[in-house]
Amino acid sequence: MSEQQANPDEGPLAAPERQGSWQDYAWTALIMALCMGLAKAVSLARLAEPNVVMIFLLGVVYVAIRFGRGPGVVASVAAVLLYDFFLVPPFHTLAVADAQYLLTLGVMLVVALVISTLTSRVREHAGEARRRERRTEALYRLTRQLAATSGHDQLVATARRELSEVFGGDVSILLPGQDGAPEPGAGPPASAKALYLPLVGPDGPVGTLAIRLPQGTERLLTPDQRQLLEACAGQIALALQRSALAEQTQRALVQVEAERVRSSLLSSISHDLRTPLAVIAGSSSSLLESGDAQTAATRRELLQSICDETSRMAIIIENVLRMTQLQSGAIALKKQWQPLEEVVGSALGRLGKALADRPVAVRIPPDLPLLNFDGVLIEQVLINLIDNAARYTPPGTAVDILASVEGEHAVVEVADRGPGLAPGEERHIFDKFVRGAAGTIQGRRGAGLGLAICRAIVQIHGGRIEAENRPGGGARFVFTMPIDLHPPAVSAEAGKVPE
Amino acid sequence: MSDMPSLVLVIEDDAAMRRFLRASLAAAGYRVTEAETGDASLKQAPLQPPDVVLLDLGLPDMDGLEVIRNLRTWSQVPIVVVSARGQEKDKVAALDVGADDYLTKPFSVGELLARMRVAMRHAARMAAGGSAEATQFTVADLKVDLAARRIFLADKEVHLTPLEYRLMGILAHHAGKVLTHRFLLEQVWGPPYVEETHYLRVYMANLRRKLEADPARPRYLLTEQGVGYRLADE
Repeated sequence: MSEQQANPDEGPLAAPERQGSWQDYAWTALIMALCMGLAKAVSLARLAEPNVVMIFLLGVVYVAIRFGRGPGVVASVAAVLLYDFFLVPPFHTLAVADAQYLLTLGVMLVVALVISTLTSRVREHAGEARRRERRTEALYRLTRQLAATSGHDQLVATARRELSEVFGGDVSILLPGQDGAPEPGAGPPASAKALYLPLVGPDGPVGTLAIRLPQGTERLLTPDQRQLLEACAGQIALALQRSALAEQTQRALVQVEAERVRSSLLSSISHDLRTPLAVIAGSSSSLLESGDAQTAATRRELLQSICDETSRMAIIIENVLRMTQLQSGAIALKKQWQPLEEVVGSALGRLGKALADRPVAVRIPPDLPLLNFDGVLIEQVLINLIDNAARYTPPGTAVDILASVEGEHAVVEVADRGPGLAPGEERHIFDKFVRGAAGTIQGRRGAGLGLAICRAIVQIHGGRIEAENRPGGGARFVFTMPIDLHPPAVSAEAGKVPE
Repeated sequence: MSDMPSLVLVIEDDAAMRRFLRASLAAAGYRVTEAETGDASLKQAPLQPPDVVLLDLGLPDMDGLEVIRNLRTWSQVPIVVVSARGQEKDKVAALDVGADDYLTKPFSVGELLARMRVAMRHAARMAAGGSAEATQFTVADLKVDLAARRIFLADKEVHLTPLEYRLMGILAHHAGKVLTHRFLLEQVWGPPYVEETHYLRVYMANLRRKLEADPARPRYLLTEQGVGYRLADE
């Protein structure tokens, strides 16, 4: 009926109902006139007098419930006056002929006033309860949203979204460490009328909440809204502090893990480096001290082992450096569009002599699109996989390098016909410091880093790497790389036309 | 070349490395002079002009690139740089400022001598200018006739598109030498294309399909991963 009722979506921050607007009194007048009409009809119908009084009381109760205390009191007085004026003889005057009507009118006034006061109070309480419920609901929603969010930036975004929804203004959250400048267009400019609230968590201030409300900002100033805003600020501060703490813990965990890796790396390397170092030191000192007394064949053997052990050390050191770079994120991916064939060719070229006695079959579909990857790193993956196949299979064993397209990935496979993987090995073989259970053919061991490096490189390219036994015997290592459906075009006419 | 053995200037700060290089180069018939620092090498080079320079990029007193730039202001002497793996960026930078080739530590004596031979041969070819020696290039079954603009594989002519020929011609002109992506793109496609490495890669793949028995295991058109390409000359 009234303006207020017509607005069912009062925000939780809606001000307590306005007291006595002119519309309310107009409605009051109308309702009392209606009661008057009804009472007249009842009285003409010659029903008992109390019924007439009851109709007026009904009107008063309705007005008090609808419009509150002010209109209720007005209605009470109006009811008594109307009754007296129109229905108590003599009619059309406030004078009362029968003295007993004075009692009726007096009681009626008192009852009407009491009822209107009580009902309007009940109404206020209900409104208060409704507002409180909405506030609680808004706060609960915010808390729940914040709890479901992690990460500083997301928290700030969630808080901003929720608050703007509830308060209907531009909200920004200023955190120390940022420039203090709110994001362009989002935060209130310095000139705008904005409300600033400190965000204080249990461990101290974490930032500032700034809110700029739409026109008619005085709405914000009611204590209710202020209270809700402060409660929200408290929740946001709490969530921000919680996330900062979680990040700190995460960092500490990563540090612990890095420390653990470093120490196991150290112990593994020191063992793997000491052995070749001992061979080199021993052989060279033997040559120095008693070289003249040795046969040419012995001298050659010693020299050969110095040479072999050095290249073994070089590989280990290179792997360790690569792993450290990958782990610390110090490698900047230098992705370029290129055919897979080329990187396979350069990997085979670099392996050179290591593959001399092995038939190597390369099968790459000619229509494989250009792939976007870091050539140096993917070459390393191929070298490690092919070298692995060479080290874990008897001389002369064939190595196959195959490529295919599966959905949105290019699949590259390095497969051999050697002894294959031990059961259960498929899963752990890519972990650091894990060496093939079968043992290498020449009894040569690496630091167990080659495959871990492969996995790290493939992962930063957005691919997967897996190992499994090959149907028909042998092991196969498969890695994938995403295929971009829109490789750059190469037009035949691009560039200068040669003269 | 003259009967006088070639003079190698070794610019290297590590004493053990210098000892190894001195012994190996002397055994291969080279004369060797040494400089421990970039500064010393720049003072020494004009007094005793070397036939080839072996330069370690990690010098204590100055950036190896500075040494190359400085030498290049007055000399076309072949320069071979020595650097570690994983430093492709440094190698490319050194090649782009004028180095002829590079060696990756650790390297064998065989590799060292091969690189030096290529660099000196290349310098000699450049010096020979337009003579017949400079217009014909042959390695194994591959013959490139730069003057006639024709290419033969086992005496059968191979037909290339104009751009493919242009690329092949530049590779043959600098046979044996590693050429960076940037250099090739600039020479074949022009300066605006120096970042479009996929052009180069696609054309190299095409050349390999026409010239290589097994394009995935090239014999002539070699890839130097992260650096560029080299046309094999041995």
